[in-house]
Amino acid sequence: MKFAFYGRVSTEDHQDEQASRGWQLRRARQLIEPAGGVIVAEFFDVGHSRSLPWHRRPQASLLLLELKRPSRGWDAVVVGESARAFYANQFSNTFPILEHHQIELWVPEVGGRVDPDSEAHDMLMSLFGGMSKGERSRIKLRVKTAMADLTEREGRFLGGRPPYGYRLIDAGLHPNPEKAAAGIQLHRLEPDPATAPVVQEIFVSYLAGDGYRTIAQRLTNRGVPSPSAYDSRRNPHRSGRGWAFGTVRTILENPRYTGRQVWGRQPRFETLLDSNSPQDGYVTAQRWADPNNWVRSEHQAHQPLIDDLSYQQVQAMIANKGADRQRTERSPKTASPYLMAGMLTCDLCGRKMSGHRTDRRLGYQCRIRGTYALPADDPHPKTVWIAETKLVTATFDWLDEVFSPANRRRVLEQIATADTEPLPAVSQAVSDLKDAGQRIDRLVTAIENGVLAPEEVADKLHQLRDRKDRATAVLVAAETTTGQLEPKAIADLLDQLGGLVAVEATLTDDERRSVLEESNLSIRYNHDTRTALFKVDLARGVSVCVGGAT
Amino acid sequence: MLRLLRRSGMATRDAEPLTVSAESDPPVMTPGLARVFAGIFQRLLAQQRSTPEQGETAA
Repeated sequence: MKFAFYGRVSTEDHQDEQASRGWQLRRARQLIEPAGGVIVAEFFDVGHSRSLPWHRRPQASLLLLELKRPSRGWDAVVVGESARAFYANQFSNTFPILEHHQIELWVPEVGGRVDPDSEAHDMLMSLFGGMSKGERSRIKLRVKTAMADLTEREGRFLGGRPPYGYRLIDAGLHPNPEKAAAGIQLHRLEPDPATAPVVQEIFVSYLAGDGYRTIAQRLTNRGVPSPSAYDSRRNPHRSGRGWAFGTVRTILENPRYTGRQVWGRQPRFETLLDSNSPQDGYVTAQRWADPNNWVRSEHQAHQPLIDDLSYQQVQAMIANKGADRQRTERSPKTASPYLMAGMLTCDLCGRKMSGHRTDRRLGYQCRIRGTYALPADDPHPKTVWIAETKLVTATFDWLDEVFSPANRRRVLEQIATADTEPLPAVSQAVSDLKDAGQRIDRLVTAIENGVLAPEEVADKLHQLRDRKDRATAVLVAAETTTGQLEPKAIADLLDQLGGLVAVEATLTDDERRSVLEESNLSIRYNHDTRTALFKVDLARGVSVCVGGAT
Repeated sequence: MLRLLRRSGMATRDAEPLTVSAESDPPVMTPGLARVFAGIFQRLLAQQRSTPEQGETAA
C-alpha cells in the first residue's frame, strides 16, 4: 500500500526541523512497513502551530487538495505522532474527509489503521486531541504567569529591544544554573548618553504644548537621528531620513521611561477566525491592553528618564486630544481592489507605496511626507502617485519579453504542458480558489493586526469560504479532463492579437490579478524619471506555490 | 480637483509615459505563471473557435 506522510514541527521552541522530520518519518515507517506499506509522498509543515486546522496549514491543505485527485498515487495517510497532526477536535473535522475519499489513516497511537467504525478508536483520537490542546495550554499559562511574576517582583528585563533612550547592559549570570553554566546573562536597561536627553526633551516639549509634528520636525531639522536611524542595523527596512510623527507619540506613551519594567502592554490573544465556524480555528492577534491591567514592577528596575508625575500629565494630555478620540471610530474595511498591492516601492525613499484612489482612479502613492518630518532640503516630492493602469500595461509589456523569439518555443511548450484544466470554467475556478484564499488571508491579517474585529468580517469570511468550496468542487469535477493546448495554437493567437499587451485587454480581473501575482515581481518606481525598475523575486513564488517544507 | 492635481504636480507627471528601466530583470515563466497563462489561452482559444461560427451565421 502506498502512503502519504504528514508531519509538523513548530519552530517556536527551537526544535530542529531535520531531526523532528527524521523521527516522525521513522516512526511512521515502523508502523506501516510490517504491513508492506511504503511512503511515496511527504507533507511536512514547519513553523505552523498545531492549533491551526489542516486547511490553514500550507502542507496539510495541499494534502487535502491532493487527496481529491484520483491521480494522487497514494491510498493512505500516515502520521508519526497523533499530537503533531491533530489538536483538540481536528481529528473529527478531518477524518471524515479522508474517509469520504476512501483514504486510510494510520496512527502509531492506535497501532495501525484508524477504524472509522470503531468507537474505541474515535474516543482514543479525541483523547489525544484533548491532550495535545492541554499540553499547549499548560505551556502558555506557565510561561505567561512566570513572565508576569518576574516583571512584578524582580523587574526583570524579559527580552526585546531596549526602548529608544536606553541601552542594555549585563546584570549578572542567569539564575537558572544550566543557563548560567552556558554563560547566559540577565540584562538591565541603562540610559544611553546619546539618546536619553532626546527622550527627556520630547517629554518637556510636549508638556510645553508642542504637538507630535512640531517635535518631530524640530528633531529632524537639528539632525537628531530618529530611533531607526540611530539603530539602523536593526532597522534596515526604514530610511531613517527623519522623525516619524508616530514615533514621538510612541515614546510619549511608553511607561518604561519612568524606571519601571512593564509587561503585557500589547498581549497576544487567540480569537476565533470566524465566530460562525469554530472548525476554522483561531487567529493570534495583538491588542493594546487596558493600562490598568499592565504588569508593572513593584520597584524601579532601571534609572528613570522622566518622573511619574510628568508621565501621568502627558498621558492625560494625549487622552484629551480630540483627534485621538476619533481614532477608535473606524469604518469596516472592504477587500482591497488594488491589483499590485505590496509590489511597489518608492525609488526615492525606499518605502512601500500604498494603494490610493485619486479622482476615482486606482493608483499607488508614497506617503512618506504624510508620516515623517523630513529635512527642509529633502528632495522627495510632496506627491508621488502612479496610476495602476499604467503599471499594469507596463508589466504586461515587460512580460511580453518572455515570449521573445529566443524563448518562445520553450515557453509555449511549458504553457501547453502546464498542469491546468481545459475548460474556461475550470481556469476561472483556479483563479477563484486563489483569489478567495488570498482575500481570506488578508482578512486574517487585518484581524491579527487588530484592524478588524472577527465579528465584523464573519459574513464576508463565510461568503469567501463558500466561493472556495464551489471552486474546489469545479476542480474536482473536472479532474478527469486533460489539457488540449497546442504550442502552435498559442503562438498563432499571440501573433493574431499582437502580443501580450493586447491579450491583457481581454482578461478578467481575476486573470489579471493571477498573472501579476504569479509574475513574482517587485517594482521600484522613480517619480523623477518616471521609470519603473522590475525585479523578479522567485523565492516569493516558491513559497506561495509549494511551501517551504518539501 | 484638476487644479489641485496641477498644483501638486501630479497632473503633469501623470500625463508622462512610464518607462521600464533598462536594468530590469527579464521576466521568468514560472510553473505558476505557466498555469495561469494556460488557463487564459484556453479561454481565448475557446472563444476564438466559437467566433467564426457566429460570423458565418451573420454572413
